[in-house]
Amino acid sequence: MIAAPYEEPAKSRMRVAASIAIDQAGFTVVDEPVRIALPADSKIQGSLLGDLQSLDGEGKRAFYYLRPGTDTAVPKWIGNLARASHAANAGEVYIVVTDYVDELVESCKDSGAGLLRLTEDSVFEMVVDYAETAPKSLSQALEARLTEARRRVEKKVEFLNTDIEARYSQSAGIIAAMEGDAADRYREQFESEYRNVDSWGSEMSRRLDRLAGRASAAEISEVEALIDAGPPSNEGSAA
Amino acid sequence: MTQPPDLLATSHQAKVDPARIRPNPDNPRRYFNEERLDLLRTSIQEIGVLVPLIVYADPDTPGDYVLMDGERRWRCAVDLGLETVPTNVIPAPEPLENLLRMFNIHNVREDWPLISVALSLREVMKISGETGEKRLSEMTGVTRSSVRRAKRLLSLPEREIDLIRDEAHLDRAQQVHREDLYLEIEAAESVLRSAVPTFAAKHTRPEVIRAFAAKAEAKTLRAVTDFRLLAKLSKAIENDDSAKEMIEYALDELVTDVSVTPQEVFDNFAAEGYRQQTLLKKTEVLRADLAGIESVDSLSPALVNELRHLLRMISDLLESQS
Repeated sequence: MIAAPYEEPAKSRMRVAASIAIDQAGFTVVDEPVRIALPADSKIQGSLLGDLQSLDGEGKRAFYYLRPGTDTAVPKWIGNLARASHAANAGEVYIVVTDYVDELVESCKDSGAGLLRLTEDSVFEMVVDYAETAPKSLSQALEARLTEARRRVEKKVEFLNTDIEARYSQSAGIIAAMEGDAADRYREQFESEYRNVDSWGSEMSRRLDRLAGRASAAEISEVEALIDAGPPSNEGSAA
Repeated sequence: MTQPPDLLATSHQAKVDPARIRPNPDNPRRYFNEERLDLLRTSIQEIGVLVPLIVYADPDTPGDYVLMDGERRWRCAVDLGLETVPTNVIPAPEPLENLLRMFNIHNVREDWPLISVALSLREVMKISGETGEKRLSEMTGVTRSSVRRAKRLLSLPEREIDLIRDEAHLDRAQQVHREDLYLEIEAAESVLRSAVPTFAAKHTRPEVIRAFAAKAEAKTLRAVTDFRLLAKLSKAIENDDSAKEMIEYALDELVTDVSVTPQEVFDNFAAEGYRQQTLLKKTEVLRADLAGIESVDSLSPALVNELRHLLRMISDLLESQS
């Protein structure tokens, strides 16, 4: 049983429309998607699952990752799965969007993921055919730098969040004693700091996503400098 | 990421299939933006879940678990198709205890939408019977003014609450049914209801709130604060029976015609009245201050000069009227 957590409405609507599109395309929607193991030498955890799965007449499986937002690059975790899927020969990985930009098309080709546009009539328009993709690889050295850069973003986000939490905990007594809206304002400063860090982390992640498969050393250096600089200072910072 | 030590005192560790875990129904932060989880998804995919989730056995379904802490990590694990995740399994809490723990675990870092706080607060009030602002604030750690604002959201018709909830996961710029919009609407509706009884008798509260929210949906407002003009409008009709009738008519139009804005109603029917009411109040204050002056000799030349200037202005104004 896969538990059903809250899902943002745009994604739920996409899920319904994509199920219709799969059916329209002549495939069978898998009622209960199953986890398909990745090759043993895969360096990532997890399995191929997707938001939706389908089977064709010959039992070939496709995994659909629904993206209601506006990606400009394949998110790294889906890119990792797409690359692994080519090695596993377990089925085709598709990213499903309602609209796309050229950068996303190139990014899909680089990472080995297919790209489908879901039209308003609940029909799939093939933008990048999975079968025609071949994931590109960076040199080991550049790949290692990108991975290291990502780990630094994660650590920085975690460190900054821990710092915010610690300062907030220390201020709990002061905040509780504040009159009127002062407590909310003070608390909002902490929340604003947290949002700032969260947004920065997401932005750095997207920048790193864009470099997958085609980064130059100079481009990586540029992002590394941004990571070293950290989030922009927050004007509402609570001391 | 640290975990509350008191929760772990009686726990045991276990590897659990994330598909056997369900989200905590009492977690006030029920809304997740899809893309915001990408950084964490990649991290977990490449290095795993480092901090165990906190769960308790689902009393309704043996073999399943309910999440106490770690919803973001759990959701990522599900999306990534992980077979197991590390967990700390704690004893199942009582319903109120569960709710209060949710409030206390997911504190500042989670930046809950107010509607989310409000809905969980409603459960706390229902189970505990506690409705006092101060006590609710102490129990949940939510500031008193947030409790107050949350209760105002809960006073809205259920349909409007659903509209706010449906957009809670969106960035603020994308939201139409914003919490601050409804707080402004709620305040304006309350002021009008007490200041204009005929209006209150004619239109129900849900009708007025829906009509005002429809203006935001139709994008006829300049800002959500436009509704503050309605509070000024109620001031404008104080002591002015002649204005009342026109304003009642305008308020009817405001409710029945989505294109009529609070700004138009105020500008056309109440701006002058409001200006005069404000002037009247200022005049009363000045008069009271002047009455306290015992001798002109005690006044500075600058003040005397200003008062003379004011006297001339008032005389000219009154003469031009007569």
